[in-house]
Amino acid sequence: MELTVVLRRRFRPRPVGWWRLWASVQVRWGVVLLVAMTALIAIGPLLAPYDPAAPVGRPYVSPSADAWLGTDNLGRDVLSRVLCGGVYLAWMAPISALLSVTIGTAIALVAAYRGGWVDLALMRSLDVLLAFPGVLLTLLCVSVFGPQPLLLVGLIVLTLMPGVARVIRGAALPLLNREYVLWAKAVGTPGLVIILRELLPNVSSPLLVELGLRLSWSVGILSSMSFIGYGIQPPAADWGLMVSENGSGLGAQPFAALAPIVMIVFYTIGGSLIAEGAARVIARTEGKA
Amino acid sequence: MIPMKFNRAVTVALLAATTVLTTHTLAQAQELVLGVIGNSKDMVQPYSPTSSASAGSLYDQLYDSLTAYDSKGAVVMELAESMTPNATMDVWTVKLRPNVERHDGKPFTADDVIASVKYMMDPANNFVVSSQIDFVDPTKLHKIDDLTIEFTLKRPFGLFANAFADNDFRMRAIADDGSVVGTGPFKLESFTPGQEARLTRFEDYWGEKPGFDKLRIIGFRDQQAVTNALRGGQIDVAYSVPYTDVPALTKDPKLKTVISGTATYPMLAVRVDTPPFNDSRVLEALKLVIDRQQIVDNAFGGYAKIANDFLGNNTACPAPAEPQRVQDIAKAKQLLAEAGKTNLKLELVTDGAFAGMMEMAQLYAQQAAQAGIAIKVRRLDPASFLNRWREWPFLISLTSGPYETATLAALLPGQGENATHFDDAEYNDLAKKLQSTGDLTEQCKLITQLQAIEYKRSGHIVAAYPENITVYRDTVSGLQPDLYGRTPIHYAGVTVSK
Amino acid sequence: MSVDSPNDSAVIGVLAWAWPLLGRLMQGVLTLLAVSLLIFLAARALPGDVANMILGQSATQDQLAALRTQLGLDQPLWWQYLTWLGGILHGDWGVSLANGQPVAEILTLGVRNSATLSGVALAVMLPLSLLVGVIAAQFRDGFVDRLFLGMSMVANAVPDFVTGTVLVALFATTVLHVLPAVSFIPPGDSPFSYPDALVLPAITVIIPGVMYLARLVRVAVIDVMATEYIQTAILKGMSPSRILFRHALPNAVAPIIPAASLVAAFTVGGVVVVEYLFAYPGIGSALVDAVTNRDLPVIQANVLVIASAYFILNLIADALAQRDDASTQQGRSQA
Repeated sequence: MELTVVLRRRFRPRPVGWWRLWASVQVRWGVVLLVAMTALIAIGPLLAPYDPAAPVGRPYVSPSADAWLGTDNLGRDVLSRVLCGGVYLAWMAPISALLSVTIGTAIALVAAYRGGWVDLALMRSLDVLLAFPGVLLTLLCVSVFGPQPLLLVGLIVLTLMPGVARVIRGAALPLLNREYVLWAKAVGTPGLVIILRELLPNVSSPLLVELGLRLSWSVGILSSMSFIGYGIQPPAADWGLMVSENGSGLGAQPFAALAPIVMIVFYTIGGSLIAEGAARVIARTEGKA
Repeated sequence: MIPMKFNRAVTVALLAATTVLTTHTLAQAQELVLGVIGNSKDMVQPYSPTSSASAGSLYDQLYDSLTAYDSKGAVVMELAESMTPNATMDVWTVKLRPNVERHDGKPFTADDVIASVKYMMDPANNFVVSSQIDFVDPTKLHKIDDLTIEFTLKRPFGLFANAFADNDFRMRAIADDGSVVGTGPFKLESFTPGQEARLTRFEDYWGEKPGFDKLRIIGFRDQQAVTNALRGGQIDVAYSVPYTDVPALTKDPKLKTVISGTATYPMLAVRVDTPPFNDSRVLEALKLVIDRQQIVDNAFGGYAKIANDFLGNNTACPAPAEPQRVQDIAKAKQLLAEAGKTNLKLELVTDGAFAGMMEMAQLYAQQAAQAGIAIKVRRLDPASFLNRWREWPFLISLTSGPYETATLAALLPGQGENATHFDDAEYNDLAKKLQSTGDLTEQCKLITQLQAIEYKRSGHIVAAYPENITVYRDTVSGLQPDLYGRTPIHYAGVTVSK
Repeated sequence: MSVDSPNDSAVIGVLAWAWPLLGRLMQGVLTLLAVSLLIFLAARALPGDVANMILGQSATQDQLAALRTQLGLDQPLWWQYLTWLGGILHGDWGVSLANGQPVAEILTLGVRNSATLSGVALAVMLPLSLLVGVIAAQFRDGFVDRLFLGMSMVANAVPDFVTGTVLVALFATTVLHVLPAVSFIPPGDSPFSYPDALVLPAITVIIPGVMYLARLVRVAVIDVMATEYIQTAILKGMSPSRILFRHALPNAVAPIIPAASLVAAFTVGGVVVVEYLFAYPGIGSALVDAVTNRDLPVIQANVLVIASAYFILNLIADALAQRDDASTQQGRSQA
């Protein structure tokens, strides 16, 4: 028993720790940006000068002292709507990203570890999911159940999760031939323990890359859903919806569409920075190996 | 009887057309491009069960009707030259205009009318609006001669010419090769449902001809695309533009607008046979919470008039002498309290298919909140909306067409269009009288009385009478205001210079 | 999928990757069958049907029932599905329930337009990402490289509809009026007759694609340049352009080919938003229209095509990745 511990210590390489990811400038900036945006979204409704749903003037009025960013297509205050318009994104996007990465990773690691028929069945089911056009899935579910926020989260998870599973499975497969995994198997360590103790820590970097990417994409998909009319419903203030409502007014009152665009872009860049930083850490680690 | 100033009008029109033609023959072929929201269920033959803006734009060029509403709302003769009833108004004799040529070169005759009407009335053809001419007995259409038909009706009907003026009841003919042909100002060259129709001017048209040779109708998937195409110069005329886009569009010096009244506009509707709306106090409260000026200004960009909860603002008849409802939140709250319906929670559904629907719904929800009514706006895709049509308790509905046909269809019991389940004994009686009179003054008096009942009891909450705005490029001239919103598709005397 | 056991990669040659491919093809057919069944059930679960859509608001219940019988919508579900499947196996796609047009015709139009858009986008995207990636690698950590990395991060973060909305305002409707805002392609014509209509939708797809692929190229070139044989070549005094074009570039292309076919798959299935923005009459628009109309045969056909395209492109990506692995192994064993 003692021998196992010793051998395991000897064979197991040091996983890329979270602290090393934190050392990356991009990761830090990404986290800071996300925290700042989340804070802004959280206190935004308190700062909003007007009720985001009530008209304060005629439609598409240019910025003035009363309405700093002007009014939108219905004469509502753009600034107030921008300040209140991130609430849905702020909780739906991170939850979607976390869930899709968690479920995707779980499926990937089980598939990779068990191999054979389990692997085949799991991965082919994911293929079915991938080949099922996301738009149709959205259209279908939203038409049947209405645009419930939790349903939208579920749809995003279904859309993003197969991709995560493919990447993580790819990252986990080479680990199966490493000595420490072979050893753990040889001494009869239960599969679940191997997956959690040997495989999972060693895919932490690709995991963080995926998390950052999927966070960006969740924001993109959520706002795209609102944009094409199947996401958050009016009269709610929502950035994606605002772009769609005011897109045609770009010539008359550009701020009504540009302000929410800027907010969406800032938020997604937060996720991208994390992904970017993590990817660089991997590249450096592999470069040294 | 319908006034017959028609011959003079035709002469003037023909003269105008000749001038246009002579000045124009030297120029090369000019094409007008119309942009409209396309519907892939469109057909070439005019008795398609689906009605859509794109189909309407096409039919208006290819086919004519026996009678029609002119741009000011009066009924005029088209393919018919006269319509004469017997004393009891249950036998009508229709005389056709002579020398009308079909697109296949043959004359348009009584046989074509009889075949068309029989086809419309045959239930197998799914032409659902034929319920509006259910007074016609398709088995009793009698051809007197090539230009005369006798209609023996199932019941006396005074609004015969009005009923056939509805633009659903166009006349068609079947050519020898089995294809459907019309008599309209344009002939069809090619057609792809929902996407594109190409037409050429029909040189032997009986009426005033358009001042350009070719017409292309492009079907876009949504309103945004139509607006963008207009601004980018890809189309010359937009069938419709969202009201909120008009300020941005008028800033473009190359774009021009025609503004006219319209008979097609959205309104809020509640099921008056269902709680809580069957309580007249709740209904009244819902009508009192609206800030009508705000709907006019913010949902319709100012291109509307304040409305007073009845339809048919554009009839030639005087409006009922009812006071204008204004926003009165205190009164609304009081009425709701009396009805025991404080803290009402409602869901307002719409398919958002028509300009102003979503905007009106959102503003109304916001206004009603002041009286403690919580309204959740829900936008549905058209099939989901239609699937429970006549079941939705609270919806955004649409009226389109003249009072004596379209509005009655929405307010009489048993009609498919009656989404509010309105069934009012007094209203039904007056409507019956209206349908069986031929006298114009009497018709007007009845319509005003009907509208007064609507104001008091109907489930329609009509906040604004919007105007119809046609935006077009400065390469086009001659588009005319039209009470029924046909400005973008009526091309008599319209010219294009590119 | 990639090579699972070391034995496979040891065997080199066509057979090694043809056999698994055949297996994958069989699985593919099963996948498509599963997708079509799911779609059929899903589409039937949607509220409202094509009869509602055809007859509209004036229809009575009797008229609706009569039309449903005419269209065969009152048949049992399993019978409807099997009839459709039987038709497909005989090469008969059926007719649209909404307007009676043959489904094959509708499908051809959409596929042609979408394939053209994806083709054009890829044709620009691939060389451009090679170029950008190589340049960035050459100036590694310099200003150009940093600028590129920053831009690619922003470009990947911005959703398609934002890029598209901004492009339309810039080039078509608000600032300049040089390109069509709406990509209308007449049904009878090829999209190539309207090159200007392709520009904006293609750019909207190309920008994120290039930013993603160029990154892979950049890393690949940097890796190759660091290898021993390139370093030796540099020491021997070989000209930098010769090193780049003869040695570095061929090695840099390898990693982007499988990625490119993934991007292509994404382009096929994911252009819905782009098509929506530009009203481009592709397969995504056709699918959305069919869903709106509840037009089952058209929905089924479009989904089948999108799913097959996705599947085939994925297959190619995997096969290329596999061959690439094999040849790298071979290369290494020879070195």
